[in-house]
Amino acid sequence: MYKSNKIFALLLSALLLLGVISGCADNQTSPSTPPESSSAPESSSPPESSSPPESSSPPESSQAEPEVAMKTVTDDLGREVAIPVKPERILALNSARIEELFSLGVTPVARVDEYKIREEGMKLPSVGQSKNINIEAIYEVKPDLILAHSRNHGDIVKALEETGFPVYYFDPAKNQQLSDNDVLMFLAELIGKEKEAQQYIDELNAFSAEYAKKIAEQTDIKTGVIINDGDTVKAAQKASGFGAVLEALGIENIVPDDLPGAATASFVNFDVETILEKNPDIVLIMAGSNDKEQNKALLQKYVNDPKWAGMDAVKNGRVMILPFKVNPNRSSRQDMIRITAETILSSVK
Amino acid sequence: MPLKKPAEALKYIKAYRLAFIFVSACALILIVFFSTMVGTIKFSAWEILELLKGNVEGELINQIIVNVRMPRILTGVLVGMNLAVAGVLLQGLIRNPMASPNIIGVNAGAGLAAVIIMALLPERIEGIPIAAFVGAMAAAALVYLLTSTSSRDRIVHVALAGVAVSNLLRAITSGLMMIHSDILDVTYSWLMGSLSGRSWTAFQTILPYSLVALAVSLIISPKMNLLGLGDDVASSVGLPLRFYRLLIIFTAAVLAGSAVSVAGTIGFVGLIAPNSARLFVGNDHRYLVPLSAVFGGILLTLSDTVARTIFQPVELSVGIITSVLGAPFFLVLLYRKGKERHA
Repeated sequence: MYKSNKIFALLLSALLLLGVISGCADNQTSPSTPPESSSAPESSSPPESSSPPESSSPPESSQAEPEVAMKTVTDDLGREVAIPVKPERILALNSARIEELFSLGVTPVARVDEYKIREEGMKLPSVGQSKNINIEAIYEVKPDLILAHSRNHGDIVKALEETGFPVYYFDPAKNQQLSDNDVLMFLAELIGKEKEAQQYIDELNAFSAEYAKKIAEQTDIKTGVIINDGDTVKAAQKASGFGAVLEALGIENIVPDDLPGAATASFVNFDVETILEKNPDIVLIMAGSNDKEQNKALLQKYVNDPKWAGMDAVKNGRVMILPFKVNPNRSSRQDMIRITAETILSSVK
Repeated sequence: MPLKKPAEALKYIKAYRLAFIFVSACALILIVFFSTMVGTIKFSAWEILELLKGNVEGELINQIIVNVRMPRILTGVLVGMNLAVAGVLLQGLIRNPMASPNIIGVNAGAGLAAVIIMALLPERIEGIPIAAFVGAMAAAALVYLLTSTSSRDRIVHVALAGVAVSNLLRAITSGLMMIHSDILDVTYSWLMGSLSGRSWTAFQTILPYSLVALAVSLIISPKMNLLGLGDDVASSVGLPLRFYRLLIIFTAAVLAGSAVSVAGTIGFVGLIAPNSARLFVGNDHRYLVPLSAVFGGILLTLSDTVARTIFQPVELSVGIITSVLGAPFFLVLLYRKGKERHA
């Protein structure tokens, strides 16, 4: 009796532990829980040499309709994949690519949990977390093209292939010099949405140029840095959505482009001394939440820290909190540019 | 040459040990000074001396040396000392040179607390040092409580309970990190240990704990020698075993907990520094404790200097460097000492 009670107690403890962990999981998917800002979407990677359509061929996958025109492309993993020329049920397995699809006017068939940008996207069925995909959920949404990411899904190549749906892998390391627009255009070529991509890029460029002009006219800000507050000093790199925002607004990021992993990692552990030496005109700190009081305290922490005191940005009141919404996982590129520009311009009002 | 009498030999050994500790302490000061000179902008020794005398007006040098490098380096020295002495104390208690602060669950407890803050309360990220310290102390207390009922095999039980508690806490930490995969790089970076951006606040946080706990460690070091002779001998000379075990675990937890709270979970220092020191001054804790502290300070200062300069302006986690620098250094020492003994 005593022994069975002990076993029961052990089982109960294990269940409670699982309950605690799964409770945490619920918190994470809740919109109120701020996803950590450092998880900017991975930069994508259109292979320059790999993927233009090579031929048309009958569908190989049993899931595809017989009359659908197919083309064979080589993805970033060097795999030859037969995909529909005009895929209609696309599934992207990372947040950034889902947003790219929306910007091309394509509504994907499902989302990953990290995607929190558009209402319509958040209502889509989930296939799990980007780094922990639920393969069974993929069967339910029946995609005709899966867009996977070599870093997050490199270990499930076989599992994705076995679903029978065409899988195209992107690898950010393969095309480190491409801009976000190049990446978007590549994706558009892959799925036959070139016109939509060009239209989107033109609109975005015009939109950015307008704000860049305002900043140039109303301020003397030339250089800047975006810091992800935390245990160590992390600065946004070119590859991150944040780095792209600085570039779009005509502000030179003091973080060099040629650091190891600059094109693939969103943030880098950056040397405080280099920030002091480069003396950026503006320092933008990523907000940890929507709480105004906390953001105020965060700002004070930087402004009152003696090590930052000598910087012009501190003296000129240009250490600013970047609103919580400014994050590639929470805003579209336009919104990130607009909110960042308005934050910067508020310093001159 | 006539053989020395035992008393004379003892005097000689004592003088040698004290001299060695003194020389090592001087080396630590020189290394700290050298470390202050190197970084993004290199400053000469003369410039640093002039700055310390208050004769330099330049704003950038003031900013970088006084507000960036000095607090970081001095925090690193204390972190290294704390981890090393925590290692000595626990190695003495467990009577095993392979023991480290991990053995009482300090790193795992601090790690879990920090990851909870990062994953569930990201807006309270400022609370990481306090949470990590509380987590470290709570884990050590749990290990102690789990072994408080056993009497004879207590030492073995401490080690086993430490392993079990550490694994449990690490499992929960990993579970949280897995679920909150969006913060994986932040949590991973903390778990690797870093002194990046540590200011005077970090130094002030760790200083009181270090001063008190290092002083206590020195005071109890003669008793550690008695404990090393075994429970029966120690009891026979009137040493209150229960009290000293509790004191040692508590002191080690304060030392390691305060170190982890400001610098993350830096591994290897608590193992390398004491064992290196042991090669020079033997097992006498009266000398081993201070020399380990000095070696810990040297190891961490050198490691952090490499971490912040080798790929400048990108910084590496200091925990990576302590392992990369420490392991070969330790192996060379072992090899040389082995050769000397054979000779």
